[in-house]
Amino acid sequence: MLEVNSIYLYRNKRQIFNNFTLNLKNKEIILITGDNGVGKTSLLDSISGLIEPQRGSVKINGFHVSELGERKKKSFLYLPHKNCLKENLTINENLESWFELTGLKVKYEDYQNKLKTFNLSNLQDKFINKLSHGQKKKVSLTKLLFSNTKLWLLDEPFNGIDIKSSDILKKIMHNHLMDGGSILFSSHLQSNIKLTKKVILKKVTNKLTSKSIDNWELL
Amino acid sequence: MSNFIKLLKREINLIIKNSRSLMSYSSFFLISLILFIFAIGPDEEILSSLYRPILWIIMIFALIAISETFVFDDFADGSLSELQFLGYSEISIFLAKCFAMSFSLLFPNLFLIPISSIFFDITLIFLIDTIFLIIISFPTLSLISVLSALISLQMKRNKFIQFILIMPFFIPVIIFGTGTNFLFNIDNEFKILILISLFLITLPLSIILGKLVIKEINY
Repeated sequence: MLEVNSIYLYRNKRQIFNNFTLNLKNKEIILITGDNGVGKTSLLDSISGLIEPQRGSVKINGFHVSELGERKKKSFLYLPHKNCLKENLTINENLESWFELTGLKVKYEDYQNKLKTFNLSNLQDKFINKLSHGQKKKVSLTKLLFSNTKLWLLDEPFNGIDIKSSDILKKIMHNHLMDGGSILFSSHLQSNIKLTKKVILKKVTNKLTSKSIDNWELL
Repeated sequence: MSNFIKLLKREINLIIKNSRSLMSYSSFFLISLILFIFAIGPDEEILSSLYRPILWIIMIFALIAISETFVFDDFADGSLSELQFLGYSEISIFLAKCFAMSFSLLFPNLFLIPISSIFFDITLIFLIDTIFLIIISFPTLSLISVLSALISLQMKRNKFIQFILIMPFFIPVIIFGTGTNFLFNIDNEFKILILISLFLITLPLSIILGKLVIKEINY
């Protein structure tokens, strides 16, 4: 499903990845962890095609991510650490806009039911700028319930949400795996999710270097 | 094409929901105009001779000021990245922003320009000619303004460099739009053709630069 082959990435004059390789198959869940600034977000940005590694390749379902183009939205769902919500729109308007952009068609009853998952039903007409940080995060996580893609890329999904919501999210992730999906997520928080693999990223160097040092460890 | 229409709909919807930006544009326009009138004094002959240059300069500065909200909000909340990893091309994103900006700001201009003419002793034909030239030039000005906002964002909102880099692009449009082209003894019809040519030159150039800058913003 996802193949990251020997990627080298330099960002802000710093080497982030050196010969980094990762494979994610169906029904697998991999956690990317490590200290702040080691490159967890950079890895997810590289996989989603937002940034291009200097060397190596990222393939999703056998296709190079840069060649996916319009098919990206059908190949994976990426929830970055920013919520991607417009502050001056309501929850309904934000999600409607996202459905339009992703080409998803959602029935009203189904929509209302799924809003209940994170207790957002009563807030659906509220503007995003009136919500707390945790509530905004839950609106963003609600997108997972509507997604029909097999691959999920989640950047710090447990950040800012309460224990109850955290448990709900774990259940959603578990159900996705049971449905044959796969998840790559980053987190620096301890979670009791049964993982396929855990990748610990380590800082290599603060200077731009061509010296090859493995900056990751597979557990 | 359908992707572009989706993006255009999104942009226009955001502008409608965020009337703050249109209000800021209109108030900036009127306040600056009134300040100019106070600075020049009551001499009607001087006022009418300076009408077009004043109008154009104010309009360009208002456009530069407002263009940042068209780009910065999307960057700050992660929507700009979201559009990219959903598979929308950087060219579509850039053009949708420019089109939406052109359409949405042209309407306030059609009200503001006649209102502003009350303070100046100008003929109806001169006013219609001015509006016509602005309508022709507005897409070019929008392309340059959005590009300028993107460059500012890429340079961590460095306004000084933004102005130095972008101002030269406005100069030809100002020359042929304000009518200072009498220096070159050019006919009115020819002036219109030159403004259209400037749009045709600016369009591919700004598309190439806009695409590059949007890609670079993620690094």
